[in-house]
Amino acid sequence: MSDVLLSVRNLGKDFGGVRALSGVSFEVRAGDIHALIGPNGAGKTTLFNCATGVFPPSAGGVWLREHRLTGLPPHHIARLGVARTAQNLRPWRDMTVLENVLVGCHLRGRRGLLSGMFRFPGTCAEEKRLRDLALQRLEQVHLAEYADVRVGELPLGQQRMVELTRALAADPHLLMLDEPAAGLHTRETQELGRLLTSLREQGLTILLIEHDMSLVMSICDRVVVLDHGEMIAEGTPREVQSDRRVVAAYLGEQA
Amino acid sequence: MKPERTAWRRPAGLTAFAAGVALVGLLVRNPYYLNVAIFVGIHALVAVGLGLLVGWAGQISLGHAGFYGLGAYASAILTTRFGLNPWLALLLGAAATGLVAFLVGKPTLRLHGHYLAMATLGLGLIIQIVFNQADRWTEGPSGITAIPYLYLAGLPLNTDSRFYFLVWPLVLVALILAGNLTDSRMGRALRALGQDEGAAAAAGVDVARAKLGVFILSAVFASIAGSLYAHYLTYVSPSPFGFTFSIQLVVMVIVGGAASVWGPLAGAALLTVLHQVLANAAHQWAFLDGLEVVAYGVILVLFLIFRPQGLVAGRRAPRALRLTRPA
Repeated sequence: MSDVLLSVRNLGKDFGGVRALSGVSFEVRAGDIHALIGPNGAGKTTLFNCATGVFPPSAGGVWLREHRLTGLPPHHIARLGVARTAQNLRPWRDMTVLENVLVGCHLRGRRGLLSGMFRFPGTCAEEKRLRDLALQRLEQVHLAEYADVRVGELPLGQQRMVELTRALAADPHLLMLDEPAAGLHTRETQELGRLLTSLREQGLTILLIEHDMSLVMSICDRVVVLDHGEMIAEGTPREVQSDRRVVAAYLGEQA
Repeated sequence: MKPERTAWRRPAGLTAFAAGVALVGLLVRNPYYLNVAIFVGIHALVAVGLGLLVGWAGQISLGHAGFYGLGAYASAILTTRFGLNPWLALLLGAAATGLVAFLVGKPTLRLHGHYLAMATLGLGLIIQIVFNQADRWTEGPSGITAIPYLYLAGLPLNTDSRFYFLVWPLVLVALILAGNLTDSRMGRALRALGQDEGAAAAAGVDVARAKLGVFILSAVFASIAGSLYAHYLTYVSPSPFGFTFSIQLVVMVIVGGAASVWGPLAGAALLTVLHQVLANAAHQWAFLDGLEVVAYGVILVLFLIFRPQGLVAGRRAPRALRLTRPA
């Protein structure tokens, strides 16, 4: 049994009378790319939101090693080393590419409001350190030349890249991506796949929600399948692909 | 490295501004114009602070006239009753106002949405009622008179010209501080949370705390401006610190352009001058009396329809899209 980074235990979430998640349990091993798949409305994003503190679960919880994430506010969870991107693109469109990544570096700086205003000693040094870090990240994803461009002016594929870079800038232990390939064309999706596998090689653990099955099958180590808020399968991509219930959930067959 | 450019484009603008300020102060002798210029400066101090809250954190305060009044009354009471040094009174007033902002902001800024607007609306009204009713301390509606002048290097600031050269350098300092903040870690965090709180929190920004910080900051700016007001006029009464002035301040910020550091200054200039023009007109034609508020409403609506970014747009005006793709 290898090292478990994230464990989801008996997670449940009700919205009024609607059961979005119930009794979901699985583990994400450190250094894996772990996919969360399922038809629309299966509860995938709800699970992300419970894990990152957007709202509390109705039952169960999510743990990052020994830390219980559920119940903590989002910025505490970020501080524990969890970074996420959202399903509908949410970079700060009025800020430049560099500024977006700098906000991603927020946790790697310490200077507050007054330091920022009065430029107390050390403020500029920290600012320079953060800028260097952010630029370095942008160079890795070939976005450095757009550093000064407002994100809203970039094409969608690059906006997604900015959002991903921003999440990476926090140097997280766990990266949670909600449909990172949505809206990307084939070549961009392949680049994304290569980037994610290279991040795994650097020791990052990734949990992603994805509809692009060829991406999931080619890069993921483990897959969890949700349907109507319940976990219906878990295993390697190959195992899941041939699972009768998964096929039924996707194709609407009577199993 | 390219990105350094955006960060330090301001010194040229600030230098030109400082030169303009000095020229006006040296050349203008007409006391009426100087008086208006001083009020523009005092209002600009409040508006620049409020701009940080409105333009970045995306929160509205409808009680900033109250914070302005707290500074004015703190200076008035501490100097006339306790004989405190005016500068010390100014600092104590700012600290007390900051504390009030903390107490109001702490519970309300944890909530999503515009609860701060509601809370500050109430707070502003309460503050003005206290000014009117607590006459043991505030002399009630008739106000506090004989507030001492400020002294700078042994020189009493008892002329318009001298006071001008206190207020406008302070406006310059406020602009520099606000500009510094824009390009700092917390400034970026504030701008980020103004656009999307959830995404900012996911990046590790303590949203409630950041909003509380900038709210307190904006209240302190208002309080310092209020203290200057008290020492300039040497007289305070409750009427200028009411709801109407709170609205005026918000209009200054929005009409001027909240996304830019310069915007609130432009808004303060426009509204303060307009106030004078309308007051003079109402003096001549009595039927215009009371229409000032209507004018603000019309201006605000026109701006929101035709130029929502305000007089001064953010410093990052839309640029042509570069079509080249990265290698």
